Amino acid sequence: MAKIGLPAEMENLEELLDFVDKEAARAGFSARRVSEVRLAAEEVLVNIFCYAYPETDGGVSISCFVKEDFFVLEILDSGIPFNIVAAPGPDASSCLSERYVGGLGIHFVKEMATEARYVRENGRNRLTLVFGKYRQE
Amino acid sequence: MKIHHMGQKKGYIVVTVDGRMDAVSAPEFEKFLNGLIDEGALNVIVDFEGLDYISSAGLRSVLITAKKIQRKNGEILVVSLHDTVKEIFEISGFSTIIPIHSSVDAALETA
Repeated sequence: MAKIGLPAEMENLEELLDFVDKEAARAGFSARRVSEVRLAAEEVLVNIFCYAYPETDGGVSISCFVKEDFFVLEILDSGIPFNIVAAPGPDASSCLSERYVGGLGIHFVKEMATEARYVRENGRNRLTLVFGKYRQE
Repeated sequence: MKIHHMGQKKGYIVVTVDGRMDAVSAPEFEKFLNGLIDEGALNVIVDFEGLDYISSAGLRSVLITAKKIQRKNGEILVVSLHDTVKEIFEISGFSTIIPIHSSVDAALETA
C-alpha cells in the first residue's frame, strides 16, 4: 500500500494529486480513467482544505491499493465530521448559479467512483473510493 | 496551466488554455479573462485543445467569466474539447449552458 500524508492546504494539492495519478497509472488504468480518479480525488481534497478545519490546521492522508481489478483510495482527515457520500448534489433549480457549482464537486466524486463509502471513526473522516477500470455511466 | 492570447479572428479574441485547470490554476484563468474583459473584450473564444483536465473549480471559473461577459452582452465560446474534458462538461450540464464547438473555425462559422 502506498501512502502520503500532508497538511490540508491548497499548496499541497498538486503533490497529493500527482501521487494519486502515479498510483492509478501503476495499477494499469488508462490515461482517461486516471484523469477521472484524479478528478474525484481533487474534489474530495479541496472540500477538506476548505471546510474540514475551520479554526485549526490539520492534515490529510491518502492510501492507495489495488484489490482484484479495483483501485482503492482511502482519504482520511481529522476535521469536522462530513459525509460526502450523503451530501446533496447540485441544486438543479439554480442552473447558472454558483450554488449549482458548489454541489458539482460532490456530484463528480459520485459519478467517477464505482463505489464510495464513508465512516466516522476515532475522530476521523474515512472516505473509501473504489474505482473500476471503466466509469459506469 | 498556460494561457495565451492568440489575437483576434472576426471580432473574437482567441485564447488558448493548456495543461490542467484545477483549484490551484483556475483563479489564474479567471484573472486573465477578467483582464481582457476590463480592456473591453466582448466576444471571446476559449480554445481548450491543449487542456487535459478540468475540475469543478475550473468549471466555476469558466462560469463566472461567462456570466461577466454575458452581462455586457458579449459572448464566450468554448472550442476543441478533449474527450475527458468534454465528458466533464456533459456530466455537469455545462454543455447546455455554454456553447461548445469543434474548432475555432467552426465556432466562427456559426457566430
